[in-house]
Amino acid sequence: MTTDELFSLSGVHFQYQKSLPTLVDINFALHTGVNLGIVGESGSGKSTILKLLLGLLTPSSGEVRFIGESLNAKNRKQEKVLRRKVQVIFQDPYSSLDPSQKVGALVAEPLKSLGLVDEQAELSSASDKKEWTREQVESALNSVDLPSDTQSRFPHQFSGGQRQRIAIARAIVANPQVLLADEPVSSLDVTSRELILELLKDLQKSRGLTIAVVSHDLSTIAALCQETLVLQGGKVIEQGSTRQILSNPTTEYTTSLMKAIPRLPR
Amino acid sequence: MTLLKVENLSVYSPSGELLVDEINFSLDKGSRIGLVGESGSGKTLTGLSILGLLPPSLRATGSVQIKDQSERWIDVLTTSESALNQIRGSLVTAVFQDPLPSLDPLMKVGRQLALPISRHQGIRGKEVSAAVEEALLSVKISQPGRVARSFPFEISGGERQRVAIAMALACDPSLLIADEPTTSLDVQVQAEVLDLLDEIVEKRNMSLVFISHDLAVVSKIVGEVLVLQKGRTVENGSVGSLLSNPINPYSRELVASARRLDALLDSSFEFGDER
Amino acid sequence: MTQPLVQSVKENLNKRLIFGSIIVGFIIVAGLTSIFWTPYKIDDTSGLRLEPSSLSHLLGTDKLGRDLLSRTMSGALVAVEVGFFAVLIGLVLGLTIGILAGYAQKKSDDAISSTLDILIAFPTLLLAMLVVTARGQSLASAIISIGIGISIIVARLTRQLTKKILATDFALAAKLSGTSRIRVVFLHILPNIWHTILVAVALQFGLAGLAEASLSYLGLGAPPPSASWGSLLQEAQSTIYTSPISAIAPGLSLVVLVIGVNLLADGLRIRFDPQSRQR
Repeated sequence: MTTDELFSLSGVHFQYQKSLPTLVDINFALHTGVNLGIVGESGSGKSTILKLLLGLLTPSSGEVRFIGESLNAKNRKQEKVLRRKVQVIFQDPYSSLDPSQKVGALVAEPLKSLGLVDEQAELSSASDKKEWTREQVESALNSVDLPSDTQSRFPHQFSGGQRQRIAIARAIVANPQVLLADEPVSSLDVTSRELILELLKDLQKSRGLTIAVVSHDLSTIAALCQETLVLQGGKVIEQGSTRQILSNPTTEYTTSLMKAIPRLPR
Repeated sequence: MTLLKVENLSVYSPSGELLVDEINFSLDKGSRIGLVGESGSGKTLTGLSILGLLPPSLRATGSVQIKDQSERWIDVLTTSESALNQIRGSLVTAVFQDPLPSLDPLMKVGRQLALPISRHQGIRGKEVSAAVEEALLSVKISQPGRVARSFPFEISGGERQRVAIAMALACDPSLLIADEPTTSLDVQVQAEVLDLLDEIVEKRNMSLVFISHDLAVVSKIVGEVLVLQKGRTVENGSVGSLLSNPINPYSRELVASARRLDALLDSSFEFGDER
Repeated sequence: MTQPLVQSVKENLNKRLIFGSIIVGFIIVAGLTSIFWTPYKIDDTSGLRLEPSSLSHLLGTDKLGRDLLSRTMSGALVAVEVGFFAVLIGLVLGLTIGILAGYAQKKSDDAISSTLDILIAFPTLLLAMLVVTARGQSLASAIISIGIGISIIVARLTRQLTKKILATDFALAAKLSGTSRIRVVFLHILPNIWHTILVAVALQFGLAGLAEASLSYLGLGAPPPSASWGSLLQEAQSTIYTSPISAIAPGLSLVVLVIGVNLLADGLRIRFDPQSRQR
């Protein structure tokens, strides 16, 4: 397993104007092939970390590095690389897919917007480009186990679990290296929850993805991530291998978090 | 003593599609039942039918009968809206997943609670504020003064759900419909709110219909369940036997999924374990 | 299974759209016909003065002996022209300003939206007077001033809708997949807001006709000899007791136009209502 550093945060503080600090002295790295889970309750600052990784926010102090280079909001070239290599899955598949667009157009959007279609030198004519795009979209849909005719339908014709598959197809169509998932299964039913987790695991293997998951749900993290960090009130209070944290939490907070999870009777 | 009888309840969509298909169950005073199912199972529509709150475009057949304080049966499906307004709150009440829509955004929490309390208990002035404080304390809000003086958006999600529970209980109802009441809460708050519901229902000898997709949560609070799939009851019985020995193929799948997700949390679980 | 109540409601909704379209369509056809044909030329004074309704003059004649049916038809053309071009100006200006304001952050957004708030309080009549003073009295002046008035309404609505769309996950998803702002406008904003805008401008189409009538009535609209419903009403004022039909014809036309566009806009609104649409 290689351990190339994809993202690293060092000494990151973040504070919205005049309010209490949202993040305090955050240090961690995301390595190729090592999925990272970020656990925390609402107000812990986990979504802010996600926005920092995506370059949507700039730290008040400290540094976010992406493939060795400091993230800079004004660097357009870097932003292009970031958008190509890093894609996102949102919590609510009902609001993350534009209801006015057909699935085919939605999944094709990153290919077009990231300039991948125009880069294909062998595609000279417009119809070639169209055909190539269609094939890419179809293969992305197939890899999330959706039939090809999905392309010509609208998002409202699909269930929550299927919509999340469409969102995943959209996220992987441009072959990113990193997938950032914000509560990827929290809004889904138990059975689709499990299937989506399986799918993400498969995709990680088949496409060489590295996944960072932000969630309040420890079982999602346990299913996907080797490494975990626990956030409380904007601070990292525990960091290490997921298995170790689950089996032997060292802080009181993590212990109480584990205890609070409703478990099935034996 | 039976409090709620749901007989052959069916709900149709405007286009005639069956959304709830012949559901039957009854509930004694002080007892609890869980409605378990995934989205589209009809569990929420069943809850709304009991409250007489189905959207007007949906049509319900069958009967939903609730026994009122003077031992008369009221059929919710055929009773007029104004008569239902009389029983909602005092006989049957509800707590939903998202408490925000059920709270007036422009009224301070204390005043919102004062209205039903003063009407129900027939009290005024100072007595009301004391009763409001007591109601907030009864749902384990540690700073009733601050919460009473706040607008709904100024308090935390957990506090908001507690306030919604206090509102629901203001008129001493005998039946509570709880529809995914803890789904949008953080785990620790979820655990506290579940404990609170359990304790209140027990103490006031209320009947509870608990609606959820989460078997683990359901098993914490009810003993008997109905498993719904596409509007139909596929299995009913005790939670214990459902979890240990599900009969129907769908409930078997549901239990297996829940078990596998649950097993992820076991310390013996190794990353990369398949199923 | 069918539900009688729901079905009757649905039929009612369609009826509004149908009746509204028929009424507005009738006025548009009458106006367009007047380009090629009217019973008499609109400035033909050969008829008797203030003649009541008869077979040769279905709506009678005015005080100069001109055929009122011809003039009312021609008035319909003025109303339709004003409605169409004013809405066009309103849409182009309003959508542009509204989308820019929707994208604008803090200070520039505040500046644009407070300017719009001030402008919306500015009466169209006053604006029209300014435009007429600047450009001289003409139909185009009336159209420009009404169009600007509509653009402010469209801009405010568009700004609000754009902000709403930009706050959705799918707009963020588009941004994160590298989609440029211009493409986001055409792929995600316009397709999701056009129905709301359409309902608003359908109503404005009729109100533009009404506004032009007010301007013409005050002598700020299309100059003579062009026959606008407003100038017809103004001309009929002195003879309203001797020849009521000369006031009733243009007046009723205006009422019918406003009722028609209201029905149409209402029908469209319900047709596009997200609650009655399938999610």
